[in-house]
Amino acid sequence: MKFKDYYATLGVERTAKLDEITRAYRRSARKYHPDVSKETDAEAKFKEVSEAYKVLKDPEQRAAYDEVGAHNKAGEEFHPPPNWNGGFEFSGRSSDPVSDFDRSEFFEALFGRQPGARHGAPRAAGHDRHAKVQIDLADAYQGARRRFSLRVPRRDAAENVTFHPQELQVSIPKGIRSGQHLRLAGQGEPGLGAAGAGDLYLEIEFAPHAQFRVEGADVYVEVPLAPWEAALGASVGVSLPDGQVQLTVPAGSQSGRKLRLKGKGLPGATPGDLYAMLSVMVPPADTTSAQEAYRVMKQSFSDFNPRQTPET
Amino acid sequence: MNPWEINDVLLVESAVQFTLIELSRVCGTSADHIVDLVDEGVLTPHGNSPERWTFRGGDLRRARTAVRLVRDLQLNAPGAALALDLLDEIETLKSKLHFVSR
Repeated sequence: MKFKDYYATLGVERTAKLDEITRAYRRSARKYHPDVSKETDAEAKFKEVSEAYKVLKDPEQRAAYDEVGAHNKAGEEFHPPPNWNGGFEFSGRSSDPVSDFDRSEFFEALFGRQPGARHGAPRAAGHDRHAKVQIDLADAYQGARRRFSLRVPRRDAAENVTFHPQELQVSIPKGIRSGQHLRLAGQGEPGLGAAGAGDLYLEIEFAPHAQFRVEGADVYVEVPLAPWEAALGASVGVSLPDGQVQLTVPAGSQSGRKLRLKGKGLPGATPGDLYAMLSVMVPPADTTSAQEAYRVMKQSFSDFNPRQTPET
Repeated sequence: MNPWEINDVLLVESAVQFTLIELSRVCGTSADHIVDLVDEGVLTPHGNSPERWTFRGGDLRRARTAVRLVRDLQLNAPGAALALDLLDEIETLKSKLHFVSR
């Protein structure tokens, strides 16, 4: 396990006062918040700054971290001292951005065995849990059974939290869209006594695909064409997530033309459409015969000026 | 470890409605916070009083985003409402840009 320098994560000195730390955290939180940020790795960075702030804003945890961290640098191999939870007792707060799912191994080693984040009267029903899972676009076209591996926090009688891997197998309904949720009844945290467990919500996300772009229920696919196919018209095979279709390209098509295949997007009560985005590729003139062909073309199209042709 | 086959699965957006209490619980927040979001027009439930409100399954995503923004960035409900509107607008502009830049 590597030591994490929480001060460096927030870009503050070790001597920084709480208000300084809070300002630094808020700046980073706005920059990296996964709902707002388009930075790559925004989510991972947000978790890092949240975890750093969670520790540094709490005088007890900060003091404990400082004691352990006095002789460590970021990235160094780190082992918590023996009997490390013995001397400290931490009071958790339920409003923390860092949920049980998000804590780093390093954080868990230091603070993970603290009494859980619940406080006040024990709840009857268990908490709901949330996780984001990726599926392939083809799964949404056809429906599928998929297996997901989640890290599940469990609390023992003393409210200590430990993590266990849990493999779930779930049927993905045909027509599901990115950003939609599956509710797995009773798969959240267990309730107290006879009270029911919470539910588990899986937020669906499509794995990025080189060819397809999805917007709601509509699917966009780029269809590269040879100049003669675009000019003379052609019937070309287009691969869809669930098979192939034959696409009729009308004569006189230009790059950027959008052909709609109605109902060939994501299936559903109102199925989406598939949009084939035509893109004319210019063949390389890397042989004498290819160059000759272009010269013949130039003569045949002596009136053609691409900079005057209005877009179709 | 053998996978655990889960059969009781519902697609929230098409098969689930939430009461105020249920939505608060799913979002890990208090009913008051959800009421604030309704007052700001972030969420538009059916029904004419909070006890009778029903939220569509499709509201879950927006509600969760709003609650995260409020919690993580210390926004108030109007701030979260503004951020959500701007995020929607960015989304729309991006998809338009995608066509223009082709």
